Amino acid sequence: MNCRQIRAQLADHSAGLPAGGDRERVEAHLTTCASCREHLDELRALDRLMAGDRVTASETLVTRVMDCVPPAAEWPGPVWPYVLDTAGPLLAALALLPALLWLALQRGMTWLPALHPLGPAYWLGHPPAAAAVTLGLAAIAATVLWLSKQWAESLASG
Amino acid sequence: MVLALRIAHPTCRTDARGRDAALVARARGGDRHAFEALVRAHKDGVLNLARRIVGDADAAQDVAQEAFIKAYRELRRFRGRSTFATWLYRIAINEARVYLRSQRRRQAQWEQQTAGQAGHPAANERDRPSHLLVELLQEVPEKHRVALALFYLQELSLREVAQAAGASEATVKSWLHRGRERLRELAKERGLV
Repeated sequence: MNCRQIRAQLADHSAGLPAGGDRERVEAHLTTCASCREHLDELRALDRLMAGDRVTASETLVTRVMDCVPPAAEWPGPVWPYVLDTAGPLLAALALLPALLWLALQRGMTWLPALHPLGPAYWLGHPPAAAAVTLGLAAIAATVLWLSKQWAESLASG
Repeated sequence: MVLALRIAHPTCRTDARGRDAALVARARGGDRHAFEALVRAHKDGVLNLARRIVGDADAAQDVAQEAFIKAYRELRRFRGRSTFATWLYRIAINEARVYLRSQRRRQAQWEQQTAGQAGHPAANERDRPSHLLVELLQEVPEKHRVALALFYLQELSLREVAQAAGASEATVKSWLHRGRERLRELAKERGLV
């Protein structure tokens, strides 16, 4: 390994991060290469400086925060995120179904009346079609559910 | 030669997680004292994180305050998939980014208004980084800076840094690598290391 490869691993090792490669080879290289030893010393010095450069938050910050936090009686705050998080995905999936039916009608799909509850004989007579439609709807519902949850998560994290 | 510099304290971290989980449960029930205890437990971490990202002590206070208030409002949505600290740091990072965006807009407006005028703008004391190391961090790209700021809190594992930064572990490792290398170069130029 050359110095460039060694230094890439050195940075991870010195930071306590998981590093690929052979740790012993890195250490062996360090015993013979003054330049890489200097590089490691610089990284360590930097880490020590940064770790030591910490400030302590004053009591004022706590007071400022708590002054803005509503009293317990006003909890739980806005309800809409909670509603969105639980009922939102389900409603989105349900809302999609009429839209699909409408789209199918618009396109003149003659098999559509068989979707009606009074026409289960159609589905019993066409198991592959029934399975395909069921899987398709399940996939659409799962995708909508997943996307809604992703959206809700992104809202939750700021 | 021992290479590892960063020392993890798994026992302390587990204790802190247990404490946070209990406090979060109480705070969700409307207990303001429990939330105040959470603020006290994490105020230094959030403030240091914000300070390293935005580079200004006063702005960091504002960012930290906003982050805690937002965390309180969103507490009900915290599911415990990550630790409370990781979740809180993610909120603080978002708040810091909002601040940096508004700063850039203000800077652009200021430059437009003063275009063609003689003289160099006098740096506002409030906008001046409070410390040379923090100033160096401002010269590192924002993504790398966020990863470094989380890393130098020395409380989080790589996985937690990745969760808070909103990226994969491999990506964050690459950001840390490049960020530390850039920071080392800058510190060397200024004679700090």
